[in-house]
Amino acid sequence: MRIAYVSPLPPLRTGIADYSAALLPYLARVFDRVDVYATERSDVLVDGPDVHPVGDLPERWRTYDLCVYHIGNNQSFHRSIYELALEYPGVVVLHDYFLHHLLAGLTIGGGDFRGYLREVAYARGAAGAELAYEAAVDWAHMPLFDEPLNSRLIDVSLGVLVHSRYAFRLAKSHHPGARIAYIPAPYGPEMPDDLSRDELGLPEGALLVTLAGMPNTAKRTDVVMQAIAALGSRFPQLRCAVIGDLLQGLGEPGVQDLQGRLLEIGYVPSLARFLAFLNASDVIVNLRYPSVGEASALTLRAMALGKPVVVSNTGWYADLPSDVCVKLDHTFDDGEDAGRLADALADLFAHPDATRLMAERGRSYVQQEHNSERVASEYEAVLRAWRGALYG
Amino acid sequence: MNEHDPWMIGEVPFSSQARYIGPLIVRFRQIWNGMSTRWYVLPMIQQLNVLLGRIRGRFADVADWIARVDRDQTSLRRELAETRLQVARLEERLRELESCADVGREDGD
Repeated sequence: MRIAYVSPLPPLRTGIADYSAALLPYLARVFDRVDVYATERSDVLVDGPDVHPVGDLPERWRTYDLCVYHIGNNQSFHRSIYELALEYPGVVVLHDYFLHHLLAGLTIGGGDFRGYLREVAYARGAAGAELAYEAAVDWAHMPLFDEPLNSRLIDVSLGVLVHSRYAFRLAKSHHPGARIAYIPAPYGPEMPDDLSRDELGLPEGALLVTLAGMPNTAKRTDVVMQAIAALGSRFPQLRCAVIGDLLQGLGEPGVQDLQGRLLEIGYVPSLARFLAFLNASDVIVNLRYPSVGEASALTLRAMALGKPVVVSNTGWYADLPSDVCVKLDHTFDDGEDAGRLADALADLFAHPDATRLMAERGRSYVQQEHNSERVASEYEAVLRAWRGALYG
Repeated sequence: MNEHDPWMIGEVPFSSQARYIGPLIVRFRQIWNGMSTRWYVLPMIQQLNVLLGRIRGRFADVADWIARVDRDQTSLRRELAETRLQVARLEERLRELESCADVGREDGD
C-alpha cells in the first residue's frame, strides 16, 4: 500500500511535527511505500521515507492509494495542507477537532469576511451566516469553541482519524455517515538528557511545579500563577518553572504575586533538554479549558517520564483513566479554579507515596496505550480497511 | 438598533450630559417629542422593522441555498476524487496486464 504523508516536520515548533517524526519510522515498516510531503518551511529530512515539498503533491496524488493530511489550528503550518486536503481529498488526521481558529485565520485573518461567512453558513446554514455577520460587526462573540468549522473538511475527505475518544464521539454524532476512526496519539520512545537540577539551573531543594508551551488563554496560566501564590506560605520551597512563551500576555498581577517563585526557562529547542526539565520537576501542570479536542503531547511526555500530572477534566484529558493523573473540574471563575488547583497540588505534596503510585500507573498507561509501534499497526489496519472499501 | 434584537431598530432614549439640569432636559425632550413627532415616527419604525424582517428572511433563504449548494459541491468533489483514484488503479492494473500479455506474446514468438 502506497501512502503520501503530508505534515509539518521538525524543526518547526509544533507538536504535530514532533508527532510525525516519532511515527514515520514505524509507518515506513508497515506500508509498502511512504512518501512524506512537508510544508515549505520545513528543511529537515527524517530518516527513512523520502521527503518532498507539498507543492509536488498535486501531480503525484493519483499514484498513491491514499494521501494522509495532518491538520492542526496553526495556519502558518497548516494552510497549504488544508488547501491540498480540500483539492485532492484523502484521509485527514484531525489533531484538533475544532478548526475554528484555523478557518478564522485563513479567512478573516486575510481580510476575507465573505470566506468566513461561507464557512459558518456551510456548518450551520442561515443561522450560521447570521452568527458570522454578528461576530464580524461585534454584536456577538466568534464561536471559537462552539462551532468546530470542520464539516467541509470531513465531508470531502475519504476518511477521518482522530486521537481522542471525545473527538470521535463528536465527529460520529455530527457526521454519522463518514468514515471515522480513533487511533491513540503515538509516543516516542524519547530519552531526556541526563542532567541534574544544578546543571539545568534549577534550585536543588525546591518543590518544582512545571508548565510548558506556547501562549494560549485556554492553558489557564493565570490560574496556575494564582494557585502557586496561594500555596506559597504552606510550602516555602515551592517554585514554578515555565518553559516556553506561556507568560506572554499574562496579567502583571499574576506574575508579581509569585514573589520570586517564578523560574522563567524560555523556549528550549532541544527535545532531550526539554524532557530533562520535565524529568527534574515534581509535578507537571497542563490545564486546557476550553479544549479544541486535541491530544496533548506534553501530557504524554510527562506521564511517560513517570511524573505526576494535573490536567483539565475536559476533552481528550477527561478520557484519561482517573487513576493515572489528577483531573481538575473547571468553572469560568479563575479564583475558584485556582483554589481547586491549589488543593490538588497540596494533596499531591502531602501524599508522596500515593502520588508516586499514580505517576507509575501513568507511565505504564502511556507505554501500553500510546506505543508508536502499536499506533503504526492501527494506522495500517484502518487505512487498509478504508482502501478496501474504496477500491474493492 | 434595538437593544434586544440587533437586527431591528427601536426608539433611542434621550440622554443629557449636563450637570444638575440634565434630567430636566431629558424630561422636556420626552414631552416635546411625545407631542410633536413620536406618533408620527413610531409607525415608520414599525414599517421599517417589517421590511428589515423580510430582508433578513430573504438573506436567510439565500444563505441556506448557498450552503446547500456548497455541501452538494463538496460531496461531488469527494465522489470525483474517489472515482479518479479508482480509475488510476484500473489504469495501473491495465498496464500490468498489457505487460504480462507482451511477455506472453514474446514467449510465444
